[in-house]
Amino acid sequence: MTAAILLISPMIAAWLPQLEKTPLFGLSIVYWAGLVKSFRQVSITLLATVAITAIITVVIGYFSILWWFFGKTFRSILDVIESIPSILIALFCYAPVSVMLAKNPESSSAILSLMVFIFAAVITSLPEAVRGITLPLAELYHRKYSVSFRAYGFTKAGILLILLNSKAMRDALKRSCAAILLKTLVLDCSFGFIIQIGMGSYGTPAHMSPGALIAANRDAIFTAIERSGRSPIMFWLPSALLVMISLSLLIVLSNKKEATV
Amino acid sequence: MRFIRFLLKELVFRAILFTVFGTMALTALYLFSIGAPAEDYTKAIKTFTLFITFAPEFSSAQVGFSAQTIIASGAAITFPLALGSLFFMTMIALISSSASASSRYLAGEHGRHFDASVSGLIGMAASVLSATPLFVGFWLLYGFFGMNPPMIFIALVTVLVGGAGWDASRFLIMDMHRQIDSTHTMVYSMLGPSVGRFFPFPGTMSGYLLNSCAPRFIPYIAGKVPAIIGGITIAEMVFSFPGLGRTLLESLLTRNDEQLIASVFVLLSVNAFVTFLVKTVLFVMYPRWYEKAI
Amino acid sequence: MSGAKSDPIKLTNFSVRLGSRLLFDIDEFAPVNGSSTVIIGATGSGKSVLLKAISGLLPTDAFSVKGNMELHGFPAYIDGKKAGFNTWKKIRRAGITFVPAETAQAVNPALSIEQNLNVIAPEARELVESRLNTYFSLDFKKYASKYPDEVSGGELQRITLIILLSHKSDVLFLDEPTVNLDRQLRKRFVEFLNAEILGKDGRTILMVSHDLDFVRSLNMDNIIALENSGLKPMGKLPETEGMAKPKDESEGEAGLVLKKVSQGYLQRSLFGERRTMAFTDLNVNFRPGHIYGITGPSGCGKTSMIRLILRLLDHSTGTVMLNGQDLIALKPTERGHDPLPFKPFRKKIAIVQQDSRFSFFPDLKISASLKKIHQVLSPTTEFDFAALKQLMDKIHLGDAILESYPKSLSSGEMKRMDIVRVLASRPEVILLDEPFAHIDFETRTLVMKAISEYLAESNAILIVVTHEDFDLKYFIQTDYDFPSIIAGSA
Repeated sequence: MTAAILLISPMIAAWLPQLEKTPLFGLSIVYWAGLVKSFRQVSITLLATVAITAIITVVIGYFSILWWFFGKTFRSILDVIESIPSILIALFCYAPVSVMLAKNPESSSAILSLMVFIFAAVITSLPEAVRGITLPLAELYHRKYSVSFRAYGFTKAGILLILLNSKAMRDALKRSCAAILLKTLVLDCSFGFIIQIGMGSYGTPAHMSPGALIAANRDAIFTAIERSGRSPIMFWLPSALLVMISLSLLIVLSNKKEATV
Repeated sequence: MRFIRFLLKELVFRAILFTVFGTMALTALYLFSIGAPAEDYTKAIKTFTLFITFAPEFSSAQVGFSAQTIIASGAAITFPLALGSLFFMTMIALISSSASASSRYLAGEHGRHFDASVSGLIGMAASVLSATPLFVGFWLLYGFFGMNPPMIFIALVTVLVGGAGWDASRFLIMDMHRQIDSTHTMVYSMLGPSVGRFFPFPGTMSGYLLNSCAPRFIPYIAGKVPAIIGGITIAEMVFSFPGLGRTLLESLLTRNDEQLIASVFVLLSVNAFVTFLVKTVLFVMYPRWYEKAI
Repeated sequence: MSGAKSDPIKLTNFSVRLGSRLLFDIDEFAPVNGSSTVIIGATGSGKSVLLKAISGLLPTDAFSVKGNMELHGFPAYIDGKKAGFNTWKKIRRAGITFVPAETAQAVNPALSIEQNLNVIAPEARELVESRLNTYFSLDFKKYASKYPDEVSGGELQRITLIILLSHKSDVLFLDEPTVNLDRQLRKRFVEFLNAEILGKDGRTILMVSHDLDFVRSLNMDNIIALENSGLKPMGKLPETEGMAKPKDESEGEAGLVLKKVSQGYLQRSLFGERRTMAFTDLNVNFRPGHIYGITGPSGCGKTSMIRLILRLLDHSTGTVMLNGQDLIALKPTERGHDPLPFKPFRKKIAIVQQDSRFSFFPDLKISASLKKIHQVLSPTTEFDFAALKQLMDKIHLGDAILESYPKSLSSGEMKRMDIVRVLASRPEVILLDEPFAHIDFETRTLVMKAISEYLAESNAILIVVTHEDFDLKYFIQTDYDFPSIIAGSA
């Protein structure tokens, strides 16, 4: 866990006050400010997405086991969503509003753009997240605790709440959150990259993304500094930081110390 | 009889109906999000009908565009890339799971922790690769090969970086580790099989573990197809080849409804067809498990 | 197969410890080639660990080993160090069969029965078919294409046992072979072992068992007891000491009456769900103050009957009368909560499940669990820990158990604590589902005495689902064979 926390430190460090005014590695202040801003915004995206998705996931997971018909219906809906590539869902959410975003002032565009993206990220993360909760919860209830606890007189709703609060389910939720964060980070960066490359004539996305920054400086690794004024570090630094953050989430997901009953 | 039921369920219901209704639903969502008037919805239905019937009236604002062009880009580029990536993802999962499961087995049975340590190091390297964003991987490929890298490398990079291969490996590794502790694996180990350290060949311990996990792994692979197609879309952007993803993005930006409907339909068809192929493998190898899985 | 004439198994100064606890220390153990040996001992004495150590299945990280072992003439352990993988591969290929206690889980669930046979004993197809037919009246061809979970538990055990025992080998290990075997199967199994395995096929056989009655019925060459961490040859088997069966002083009308009861369930198929019957037309009466046993092969519906009485199942028909009230009429369906008229019956009926870990809250200490459970069952009264501790004393459970978490208790401790929980709640009907599987005979006697005392003072009804002859001999007063009572009335 220490390693995971260390690796995720760039996102925490991005919030240090005045950091955007103190460029490192000989980078320009414009680029550096953009880098810091992009990691701040990706941290907002990640936190907002994981918070919203986790709440919805727990609610859907709980009611899916409580009411069979609800579970079956939602499983079908989530199966359909999962059948569509996430990047497509993000594009479908974003593209219709792209023109409007380009016309509005920067601050309101940034907020709206973040909201649209968070909406897309929540939708695409839900199927795997809900599965990560419903499968262990169903196992705990139907195969283990239902007979005894129903025999005591606990209601099914009450038993499910008890089980949701157990260490096993808290660990399952932690792993689901790590998976949501990883998926959202991947989507945010891929999305930023595609929008930067594909929508160039419509302006950059209204919220900063490390992916967009990498895309904007992708040629820096091939062209000479003297000619372009850009150094390869402008490509490698955000890439390395993204690798660190993703690795920390992979460490959490790989953690085999699960609570078992 | 069972095969007919399988075809009805997977090809007719899942593949065809999903593709048709999925296209219409996504198009409706798009029209709704841009505030299109009511007549645009009827026009979309008409366009869709013309497209799937290869009507000569179907065309777009772009010169030379036709239904065949869209389908050809899907068939010639996106589909083979998706199959190639699926193959590589499966191979990565099989090799990594054999190594991991055999290390764990040897560590538990014979205290051979060196193998487990080596396996752990390789796993960490694999994690770093997985943590690398997909577009960074493609961009580095561009650095080596320019705008025309061999398709096989694109297919490999799609799953080697970005997490798809890691996901599949982890799924299979964890399932195999669970099976190692089972009674039936213990009984099998008494027959004195080889370990199968690098690949789950039949007759080896890792081959046996794979046999136990395959009924769950195959549907899992089928579920990864949309993620692979998403990765290929990114490749299309980087290498500017006329795949479906790029066509779709263009149609979203230029508000070309005809092109949008056509590309969504073909993309969902490719998705459904590759998934169908994977499920056919499950059906052929484990027919009872297929019935249970549905 | 090895052609070695040397002792197939040879242990010299061989000891195993679990942490600091010595499990056994054996100076010398070398059964004669072709002989059959049984090692007996109480539950938890280390018999299964010994067997797994000899067959090379002991995890290296949890146990520490000293001494030397040879198998088939190969050095399996040298100065406590297990030989490498390649040596053990040779040992195993020389011919070893291990029959685990949980035979139903010895087959791969992803493969069909036939595929499992082809993996384990490909050379023995005809032998398996003939043995299944002769001893268990089963036609292998009927089951060949099925998967393990499509076959009933009892049938699967029979098929798996025959497949494993038909695998060609020089050395055969059997680990507690009677666990989970129903009475019918046990009888046939004994016939089969005596007729075809013991002393008949030239194999060296090593078996461990706590079931003395089962061992008594076999033609074994050697009997050895594992006691005080050592092996002690026994001339003959000790007599089983149980308690005298409780006197049946109950009289009067039946307290619990099941009349024309049927239980259905939904079976998933390709185009939806299909209703199937677990059992139909069950008629049985249970008198207060009496101990009933329910026996029968796995999968015949015993556990379904228990859950039906608890009203935790849908699709139940007929009447279940308790205290003059029909429980099915009071609660026809299971919707996750109890209708008000049914609620008082929750306190009157109590169950001890097969796996007692799931009777307590997963993350609370035992004492906290008991309080919470009591709050639901009897919200107006305080939990009586004094009475609980008295019950715990009777079955030798220390007070420290109350401050433990479920996962830190052994299965035997968990089971006993669960039984104490039930007795402390003072129900009128007690349902025990395989309650004594993890308890050795000595401790079992204490538990049975405690339950009998409770029955005598409370006049409760006790229904026990069991396979074990010991329970039927020393505890059960009336035994119902379940397949018979669903065919007629009792």
